[in-house]
Amino acid sequence: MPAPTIPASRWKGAATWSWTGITPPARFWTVTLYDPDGRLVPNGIGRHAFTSQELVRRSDGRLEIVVSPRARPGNWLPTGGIERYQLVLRLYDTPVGVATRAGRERPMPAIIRKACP
Amino acid sequence: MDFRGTLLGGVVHLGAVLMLPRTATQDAYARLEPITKVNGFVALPLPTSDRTILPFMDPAFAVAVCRYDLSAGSIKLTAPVSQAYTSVTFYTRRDVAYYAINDRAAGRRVIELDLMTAEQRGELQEDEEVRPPTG
Repeated sequence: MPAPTIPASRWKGAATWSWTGITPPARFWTVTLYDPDGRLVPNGIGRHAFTSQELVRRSDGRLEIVVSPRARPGNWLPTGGIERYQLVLRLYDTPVGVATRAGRERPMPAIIRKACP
Repeated sequence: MDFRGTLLGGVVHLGAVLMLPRTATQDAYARLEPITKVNGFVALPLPTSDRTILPFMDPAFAVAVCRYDLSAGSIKLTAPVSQAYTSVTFYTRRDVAYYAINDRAAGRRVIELDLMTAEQRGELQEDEEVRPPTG
């Protein structure tokens, strides 16, 4: 089993959220959507996560993942309409650790509320 | 008396907190026990929205579990490395990860590790001392 760094965020509601920007340095990373008990969330397209290898990047090199109940163009993580969920970012083979304090050493992506459904 | 009550309460609370992981019946080991074997790897089914053996499994990764038992002797672990990313982590019975290595750190096509108790390590002859693998 890998030993990744796991910053978790808990969001509420069926709103549309956007995850943008850059991620901390890592050889490989994944972002996965779970329900509050750590289970994958059922949805029509069977999409529960993105890996750093399969994301479509914007023309400026940055990336955006849209987390919402309704289908969106680009990197869409469907919430299946559940009220509470967690997004987990796992960094595999990364210099970032619990002892890393300086913000510039671990640039975290921004999470922005875009719209209500 | 009040002070004694508080102290006893504190001790009971601390005892309860310390005991919790040991008395929880559905910890990771208990969930894995029926579907894995001793001193051999078994691949876990990938998590789905219907069923996950452990919470918060990463669906991007294949996971295999070996419940090791060193009572009959040390074990040698050999794990092939995939093209993407491979790591091996050792856990205690109580879910404490105490060692991990990935393919890049191993620097080879196969991750090879010897696992033994301190006693078994002490019984090794000088000339059969465990050395880091070469090549």
